[in-house]
Amino acid sequence: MALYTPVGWLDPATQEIAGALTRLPEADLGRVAAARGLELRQISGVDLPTRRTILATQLVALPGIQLALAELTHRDLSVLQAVWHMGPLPAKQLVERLQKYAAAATVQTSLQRLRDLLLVIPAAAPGDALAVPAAIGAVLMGRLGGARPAQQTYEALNSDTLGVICAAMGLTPAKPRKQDRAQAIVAALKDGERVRREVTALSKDERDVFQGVLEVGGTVDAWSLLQRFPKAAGKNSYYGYELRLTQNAWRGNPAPLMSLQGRGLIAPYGGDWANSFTVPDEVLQALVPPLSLSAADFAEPPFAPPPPESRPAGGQPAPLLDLAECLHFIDETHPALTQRQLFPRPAIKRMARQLSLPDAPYADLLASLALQLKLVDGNAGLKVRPKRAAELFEQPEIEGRSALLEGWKALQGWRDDRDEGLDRGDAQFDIGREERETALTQLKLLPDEGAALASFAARLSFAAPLRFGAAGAKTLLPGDSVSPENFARGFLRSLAWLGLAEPLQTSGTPGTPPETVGLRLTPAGRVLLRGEAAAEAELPPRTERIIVQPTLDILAPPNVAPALYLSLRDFADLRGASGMRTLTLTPASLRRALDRRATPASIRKLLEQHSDTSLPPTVLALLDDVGRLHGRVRVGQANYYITVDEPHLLVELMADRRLAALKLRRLSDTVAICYGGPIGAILEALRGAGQMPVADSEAGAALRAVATSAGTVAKAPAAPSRAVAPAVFPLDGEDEELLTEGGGKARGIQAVIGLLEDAVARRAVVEMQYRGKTNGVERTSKREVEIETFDGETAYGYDRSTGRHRQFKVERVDWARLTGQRFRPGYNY
Amino acid sequence: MYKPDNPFIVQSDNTVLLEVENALYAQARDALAPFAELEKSPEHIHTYRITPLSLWNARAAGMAPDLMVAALERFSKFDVPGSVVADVRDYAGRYGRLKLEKRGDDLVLRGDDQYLVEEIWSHKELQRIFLARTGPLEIAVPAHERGRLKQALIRIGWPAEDLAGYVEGERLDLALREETKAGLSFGLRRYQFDAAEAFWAGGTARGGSGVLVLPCGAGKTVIGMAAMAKANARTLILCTSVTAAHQWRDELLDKTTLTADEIGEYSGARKEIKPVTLATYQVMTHVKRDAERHETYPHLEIFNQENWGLIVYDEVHLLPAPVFRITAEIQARRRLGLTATLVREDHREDDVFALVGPKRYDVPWRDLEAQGWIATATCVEVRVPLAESQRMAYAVADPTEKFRIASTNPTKEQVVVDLAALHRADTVLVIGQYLEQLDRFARLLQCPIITGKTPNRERERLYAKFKAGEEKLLVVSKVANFSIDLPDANVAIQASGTFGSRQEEAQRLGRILRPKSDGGQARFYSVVTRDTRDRDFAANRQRFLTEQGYRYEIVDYLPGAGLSVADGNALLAPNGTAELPPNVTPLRRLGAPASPD
Repeated sequence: MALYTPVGWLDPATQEIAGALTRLPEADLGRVAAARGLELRQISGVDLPTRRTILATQLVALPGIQLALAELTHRDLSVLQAVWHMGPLPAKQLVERLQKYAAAATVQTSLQRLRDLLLVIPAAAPGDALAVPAAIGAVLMGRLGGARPAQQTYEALNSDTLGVICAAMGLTPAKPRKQDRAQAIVAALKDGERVRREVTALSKDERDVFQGVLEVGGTVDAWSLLQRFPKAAGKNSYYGYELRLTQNAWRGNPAPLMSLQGRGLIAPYGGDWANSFTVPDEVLQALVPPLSLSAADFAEPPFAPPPPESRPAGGQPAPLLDLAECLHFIDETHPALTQRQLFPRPAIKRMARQLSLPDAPYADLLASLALQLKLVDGNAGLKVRPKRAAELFEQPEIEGRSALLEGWKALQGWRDDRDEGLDRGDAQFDIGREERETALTQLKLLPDEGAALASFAARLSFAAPLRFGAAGAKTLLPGDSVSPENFARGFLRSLAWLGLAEPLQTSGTPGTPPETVGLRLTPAGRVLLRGEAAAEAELPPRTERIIVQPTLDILAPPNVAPALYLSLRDFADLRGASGMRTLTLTPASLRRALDRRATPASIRKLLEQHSDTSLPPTVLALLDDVGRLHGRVRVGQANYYITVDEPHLLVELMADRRLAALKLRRLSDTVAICYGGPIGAILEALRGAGQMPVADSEAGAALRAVATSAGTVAKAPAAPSRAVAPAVFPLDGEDEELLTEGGGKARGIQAVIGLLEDAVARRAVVEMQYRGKTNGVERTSKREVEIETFDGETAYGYDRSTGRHRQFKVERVDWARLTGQRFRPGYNY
Repeated sequence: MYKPDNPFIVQSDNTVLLEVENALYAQARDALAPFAELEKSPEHIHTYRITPLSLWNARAAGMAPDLMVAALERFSKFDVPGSVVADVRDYAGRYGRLKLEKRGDDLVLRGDDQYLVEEIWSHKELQRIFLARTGPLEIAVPAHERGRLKQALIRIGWPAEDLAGYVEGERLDLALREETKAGLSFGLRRYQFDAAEAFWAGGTARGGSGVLVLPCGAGKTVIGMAAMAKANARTLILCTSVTAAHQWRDELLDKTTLTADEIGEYSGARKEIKPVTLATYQVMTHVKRDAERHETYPHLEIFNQENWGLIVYDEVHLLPAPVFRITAEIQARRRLGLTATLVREDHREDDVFALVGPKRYDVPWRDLEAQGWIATATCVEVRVPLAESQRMAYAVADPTEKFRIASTNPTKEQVVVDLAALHRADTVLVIGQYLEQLDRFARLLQCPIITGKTPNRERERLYAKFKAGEEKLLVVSKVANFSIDLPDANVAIQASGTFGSRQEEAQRLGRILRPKSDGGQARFYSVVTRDTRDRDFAANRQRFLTEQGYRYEIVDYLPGAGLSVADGNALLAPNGTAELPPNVTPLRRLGAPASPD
């Protein structure tokens, strides 16, 4: 099925582009698309004209135009401005007119580039004239979001509104008809001089509102406008704000928005009741400054030499070691990423402090690189990916730094031009790969002796004026613009951290810090950015040698192998990282390593392998001491334990297959942990193996058997802390002995205690005379109680007299005796 | 640019790590030492630190910032960090911008820049000191605030070049002898000469105040006398004890042209003020309370009441607080501090520098050892287990008591006995902290003991016998930490120390560092109870010596196994002999395979 959109249905700007595309051979369509970063796909059933149309709609989209403009150098932009102002003109004439500023070849190169990007197209007029398409022109004059010609804008308003506007503008159309009025207004707006006069005559408030609309590309919705300029419109009791220009609104001292409408500088877009306002294209066109070119617009500024008194900042950057430190930090602290997938700021600051990093943004960069290079993963708690880290660190130094460079280039959200580094604010403009690539391209051309920073910034500004904050850039690209000086400084800072460039500084006067005035490439920079393989020889070779001092310090030079360094950090703390890395062995650092399954022997072996000298006795002694102490105290979890009174019995129990389910684990000769449970089941299992176990109280005293009454729903007592915890076992029959004992009364506290303890052990029902208190009144009663627990002061059990469980204080028992009955326990543990 | 053959690395924290084994070590050290402080000198890498004070001292000695930077660049392996260069230029550049000069009876502080003077004038801490602003570039200062002003200016980072000069003091003619009273040839060693010269600085205002740091046994007393010979003025010498004062007196009489009449003792027992007066710190800090309980230090007046030309602070690291204060007031007098260990656990080293004077000279211990000026010493830590009988008491004791129990571990007694037996041919000092323990040692070893309770006369008698070789073994408490001159003691056995005091450890080692007449080695044993607080504190004490380059051997003592030479290594053998005493079996050395026996 064929897809076809008639060209006639497209808006004029798109039609214009589509027309230009029809004049291009098919082979060139792909080239144009690629130059604009688009893909011209071959879709089955879509014919060539339709594909041209699709491409045309893509080419007029604002983001695409902005990106294309952002690719232009200052020279290209100047030529484009020239074509726009002077055109349509044949190329030859254009070149001749610009010859006073630049050589013909230079201009032609720019022209060709503009044609490749379809920023300049053959004009509709016959001949070989070139022109800037309307869609591009709209952007050049500050329009963001499609053309808003005055004709279209005013024709959408009603006649009354148009009449008010005409009256306000002092226009007298031939007839008071809508179309006449609209045309009068349009004609007036085409008078550039008139428009400029009106703009000049604006009051401060009016100018602020007008400028505010221009800043956002010439069209704004009413709400946003009023948010920023609450006094732009008068209040209307019905609608809130008076947005329409009416006779009433025009009277007296009109609000700025009314005044601007009355002058024709702003109009409602989409009808009287529309919610947005626009500056008509003709007004924008009138405000475009006249073309002003000079030779400087076409000549790339040269690199200026750095000031003679400047000197390199020096130092020995070791970004791979610092990255290793960062990974070590992550491994120890497992920070969680924020919702925006950034390293949390407090963690950054902590890392910077811990690692003695001079700049917290550097810590931010390292953390960002760790994420970018996928050296860590996780979210709620980051973890290092040791294999990936090892792969990076085992590479030669240059390859390692190259990986860092690529990672940095690809970082999104990293703002080299800001002190905070990583963009954690609301900046809309994302500095990314393109900006860095532009800067790196310039860096490749840097002279060996370096250059003044200001000249580098100037070259950035020339190479990509719309990315680097050239005049007028703000209206062409949204969001923050980037000051080239700030970017150059920040860019240099990042590269200095990566060891690829170094700042050149002046000394400053006492009390003032040195100032960065220039930059130059380091040997590593020359290798990676300029491909000068010979410069690699100037890099200090990697070393695996360290120095172990009797003071327990380990000194690792800045060119130590990162993999070795990471290994050292496993068991030594960092004390200083400003050049030579000073690590120190402490009991705590060694203990951490041993916790992670390292051994003193393995640590010693590593140190001996890499130390230039024999290990000092103090180091050996410390290793020995920590090794001896580590693990002397052990902590584990145990639900139950078994103690026996002689080791052979424990051996027997552990060997008994019937007890395998208990998973006994010996702790000492007579104590084993038992993983089975509950306690009743353990006792049962032991009995099943022919043993006669008893339960231990919390205090370690052996308990006698106790039971709860049959038929009752046993509630677990709120056992006092010293309660004798009952062991539960089934009733095995009447105890004849007990039955024959029943009757003898125990009087006095000691005798009662003895009897109650016996009752607990034998599950005997006790009769007692008990002095209780009810509502403050003491009364004595006889009770029959199934005593379940007794802690020496308080007995707890089931009172058969009242049918409920309760406590009995021993000092309130006048006498007690065994009844000769037993009771069945009513609950198990 | 990487220069692998160069001997040091300059770190961006202003430390310089210098390779000792590098061919350029000596040159680099000589270039660095004038403006950087030697912080640590263990075996392979010495650490220097560039501080504002070290830079100002260098500037005071006339060294220009460019020379300092050039020295760093000349010997550095890597490019010198810009921050270090900036700091050197910045701080060094500050020196000389403020000058302290005499005007009448008072002083004037003069700056070279109005804004700088304004900044100084507005500083709250300094306003209490100033008299008046006498011009856009100068401020009047009372003379007695000279020391405090200099201290405060150093604290805020703006040192003053003190050109106010010194009071010459009442003249006293004295010279060093070429032959001692005992008839021995005498002259200054090279480093002693250099140290004295560094202090004196030709008698100019640039010198005349400072601290000389030299190892124990290096002859600081001789250097003090050399300084006195240059000053030729009445001198007050502050000592740590009466015994030390007597040793000074003996040395002065032996090696200078002073007579006994010219030397006085100002101590608890005597109050003599003579052209050269030896006083003790204790008497200076004697407190007197009046009826209203107001405290005064009556003896501090000795500083002011005489026209001293030079004040010598022996063991200046022990300077007590009241003496700090009075020192701040006597800045017009030349001041010389002598010490082996300018380390204070209260970290007031900077006050010593500010008030007595900057460090003018120091030399690594091991350098003097290599030159033979002090004895070569081996340090051994002997680790013993805690006696079973003490384990429970240790387990339940509070931390201070734990330390005492571990320090007085009965197991140490046998070790000390065995060590003494091993070194029966040597002259041995047994040193400790706890008197009961020392008493037991003395009984076991059947030798004399000197403690704080021992009368001075008795002490001197015993020291004399020890020096003469009549006594080969002496048990001493911490009274012997300082200033005791026992030239031929070559073995020290330390049974217990004062918690983690590094300077005590160093001072004790210093007792045996005098060069031996037979050229033999000195040996320092520290007996420590393993896995206790004793060991923890021992580690701190040893830190200083380790940082000075002394290597500690660590051996385990096995009860019943005794001590001996191990594996043919003469580690424990006295004076190089390998002969085993008859009843001793081999010892297991940490890290070494066990002896086949």
